[in-house]
Amino acid sequence: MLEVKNMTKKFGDYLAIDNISFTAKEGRILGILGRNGAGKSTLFRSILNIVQKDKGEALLDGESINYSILDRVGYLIEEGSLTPEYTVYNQFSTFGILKNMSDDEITTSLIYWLKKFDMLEYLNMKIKNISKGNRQKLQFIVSVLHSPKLLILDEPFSGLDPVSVDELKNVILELKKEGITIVFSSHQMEHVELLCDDILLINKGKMILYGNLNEIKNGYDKKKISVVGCLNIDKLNNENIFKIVNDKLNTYEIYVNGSNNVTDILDLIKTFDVQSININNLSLEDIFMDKAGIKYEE
Amino acid sequence: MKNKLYRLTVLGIEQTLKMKFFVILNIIMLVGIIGVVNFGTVKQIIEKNTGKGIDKNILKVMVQDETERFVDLVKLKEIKDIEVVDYSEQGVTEGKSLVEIKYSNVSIISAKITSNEYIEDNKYTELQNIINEIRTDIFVDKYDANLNEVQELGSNVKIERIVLTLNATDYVKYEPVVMVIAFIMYMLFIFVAATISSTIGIEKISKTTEYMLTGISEKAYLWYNILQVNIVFLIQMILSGVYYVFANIISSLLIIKFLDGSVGKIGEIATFSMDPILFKIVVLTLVQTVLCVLILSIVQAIMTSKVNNMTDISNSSMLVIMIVVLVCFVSPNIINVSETVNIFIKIVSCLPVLSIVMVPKLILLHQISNIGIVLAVLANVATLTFLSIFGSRWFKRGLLDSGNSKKSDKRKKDEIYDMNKSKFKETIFKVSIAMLMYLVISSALGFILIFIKGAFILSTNIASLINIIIWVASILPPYFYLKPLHVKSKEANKKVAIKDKINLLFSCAFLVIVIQFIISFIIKDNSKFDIVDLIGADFKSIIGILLFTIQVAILPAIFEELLFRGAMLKVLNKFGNLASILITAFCFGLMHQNLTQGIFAFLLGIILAFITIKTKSIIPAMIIHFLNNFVSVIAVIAAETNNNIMINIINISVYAVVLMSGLYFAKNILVNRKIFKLENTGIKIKNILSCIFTQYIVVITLLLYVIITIYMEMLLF
Repeated sequence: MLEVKNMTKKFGDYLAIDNISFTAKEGRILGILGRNGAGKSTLFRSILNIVQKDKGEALLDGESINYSILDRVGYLIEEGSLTPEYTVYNQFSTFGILKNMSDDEITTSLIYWLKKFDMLEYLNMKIKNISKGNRQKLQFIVSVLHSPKLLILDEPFSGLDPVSVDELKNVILELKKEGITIVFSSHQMEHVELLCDDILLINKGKMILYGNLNEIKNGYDKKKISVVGCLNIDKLNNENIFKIVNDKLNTYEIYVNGSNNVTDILDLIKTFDVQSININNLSLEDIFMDKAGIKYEE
Repeated sequence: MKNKLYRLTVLGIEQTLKMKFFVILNIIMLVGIIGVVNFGTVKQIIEKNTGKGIDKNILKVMVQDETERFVDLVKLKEIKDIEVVDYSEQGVTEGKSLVEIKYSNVSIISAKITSNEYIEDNKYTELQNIINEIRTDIFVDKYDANLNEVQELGSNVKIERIVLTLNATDYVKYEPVVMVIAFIMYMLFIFVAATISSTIGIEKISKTTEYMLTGISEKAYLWYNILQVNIVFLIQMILSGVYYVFANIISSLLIIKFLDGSVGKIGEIATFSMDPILFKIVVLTLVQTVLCVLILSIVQAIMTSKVNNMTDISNSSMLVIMIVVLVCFVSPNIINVSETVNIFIKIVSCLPVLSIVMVPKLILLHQISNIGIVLAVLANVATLTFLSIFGSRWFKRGLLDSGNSKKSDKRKKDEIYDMNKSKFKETIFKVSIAMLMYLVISSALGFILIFIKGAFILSTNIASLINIIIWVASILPPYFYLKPLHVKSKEANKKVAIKDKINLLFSCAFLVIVIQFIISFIIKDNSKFDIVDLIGADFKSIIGILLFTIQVAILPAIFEELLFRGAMLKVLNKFGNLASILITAFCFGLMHQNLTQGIFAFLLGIILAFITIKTKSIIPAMIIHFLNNFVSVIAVIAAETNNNIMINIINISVYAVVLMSGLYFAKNILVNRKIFKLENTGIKIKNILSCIFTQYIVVITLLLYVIITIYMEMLLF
């Protein structure tokens, strides 16, 4: 179990992370969401003691994180982290020692994981000759090589094709079943929605939403009505409608405050010439947009 | 943790040893060392087997001897190296030399040696000795003198060299050793610096570092890199030693097998004699080398931690290599062998890293006590401890780039102000480039002039003419460099009333006179600075006087004003009046490369800049500048030509000008004070300083000017 309390990190006067607290439980996946530069990577670095934090602490099973405990933590870095001049085997030997593994353990574990991703032929290849997607998989192997208790994944899906993304998702879910605490960050909402049990939204270093994903979605008393048809927006004036999006011709997304008010608005919509109406809960993306007060961009 | 560090280091070393590069390097070294060591032996064997070169060590001499003693003497002394062969009429052939010895009454004997080949020095000396002996014999015969006395007279005078501060014998004996050590150090540092910077740099760029830091502390990571490289180098050194011994064994075997010679080479290495001084130097250097290599490795690692691309990796190692060049080759020259070393140099020699080559030199000179040596070692130990404690923090900070985001954040905060500041910084840079231009061009042309003066005899007038051309040629490039930077603003078109202009002109002229007076009062002993000596002028002809006037009064008034008040001031003026006035005045002072003149020029520069800003024209400044210089020109001419009437005229006119301008000044101060008012907006002094001292080109320019000024001062006084 990872507990983070009042984590704060400043760069000069700039607050990169502002007083963030959360708990990641065993056997559950916590997704950390935020735009580019929201402070996701800095948060991880502060948790792992790579950068000097200004305030707060991070506890793994009740012990504050230091170098001896870091052996139980797996970390996938957002970009890079592999030395181009090394062969895969050499690189993993170094990284294995870093996590206090014996040479045999390293070899066994490496071969197990390479087989799992069907990459055994890369064992003696130089890293600079390996494609970006496969390098990303190797980086994932780096983070799980020593069977950690806590797995921190910074943008694990970047650079992967859809098939590989599914492959990786399955592996992550397997690890979850084994009872590993998993924290990962992403800017792609669909990954988070499918994988996570809990979510943490951050924007410009501030925590804006934290909790169980389903609870958040259900507890969010706002609805989205998707309409295909001809609407006259000017005549749709109800005080409970807080936003209307008209991206495509004849397609409208109407956001409503309070599920009790939906029937009133449906009546209003039906006065126009409409082909179909769908009533949905707000998606994670919508919630983010609503909370952060900005349009979420990839 | 220590276990991790150990395992990582061992793994790193193993991986380096497996590298293709390392293997190829060692094969080349092995083959190369064997080749070089055995080259001579193999050559001898080949020569022996082909029958060539057996006699090469024996010089075959044909003799034409008037005294007929040469052959006897060679036989008598049983000189093996020289074989006398019959003289053939064919002349000098290959492999033979001809010695002609002639007898005369005046110089008793003279000799000529003719040969197709180069005669080695020792053979030549032997021939010379034989001929010398013949001469002595003849001399003894002729004057019936004592042989010993004559020999004594003929030998070189023995002079005992005793310098109280140093042991000359030791110094001569061991200085090469110290030099060789310095060279080895240099090579070692280049290797270590380059390797450390490349490993750390590549790992930083590929972001492996970040992952490494999740497993080991930054301190362990730092030491992992340093130890890895140093141990690999140590292994390489040991291997090279092994190759050398191996090559020597081969050489000995060859000698035994093919040349029937005795084997001495390996034995020689084993019984390498050590005397106390050499022992002290070697042990000390070993200890210091270990310390210094570690210190510089840490410095290199810290520097490399700040890099962000491949170019900076090599640049960072260049920086450390520069330090090493300074340490190994420049610093020993601080110690002057012929003088007693003063306390300052002793302290400098004991500074960390510097001590590595300077202390052995001091030991050779017997100029350092044992306490000093211990202190030097302790200084290195202290530095190493300090660096290993704090270095890892700087290292980590550099690796993770948190410093950069701090800067960029501050920049966002005050963008408009900072835009102005960065533009100002840019302008200061350009101004310093202009000043550098002036300095470089004028010095280069000055040197050329010195060469011309050495080659041709120039009349004073022509020299003055060349002086003028050089001066103009060195002031125009900076002017044309700065001029285009100035963009006219709308305010510049507003005209100033002529009345105000005249008021300002006279008031400022009065101020200049006052300053001139005060300066001459404070610095009385100005007699040694003689402008006539410096420039040189022919006061006998009118042309000479004219050239002198042009050189001292007219040209400076025009061109210096164009550069400083015309271009530099206008370019700087948009950053505020105070900044522009102070900086141009300072540059104007620097440009004179002389302390007394410089101080006056600085004050004059302030007034001239002030009047230029107030009147929006450089003509008043030109007039004041011209008058100021012209007065001294006339004074010099009057003094040189001893013209009393002229002196009187000058005195009267000076008084008149002083009186008139003084009246103007008094009137303006009392009635019209507002014309002296100057608004000050723009850059603050604090920022001016920060802009100057954060740019290395500006600092270098300043330093160059200061050095040249000091040099000129020493030259004059």
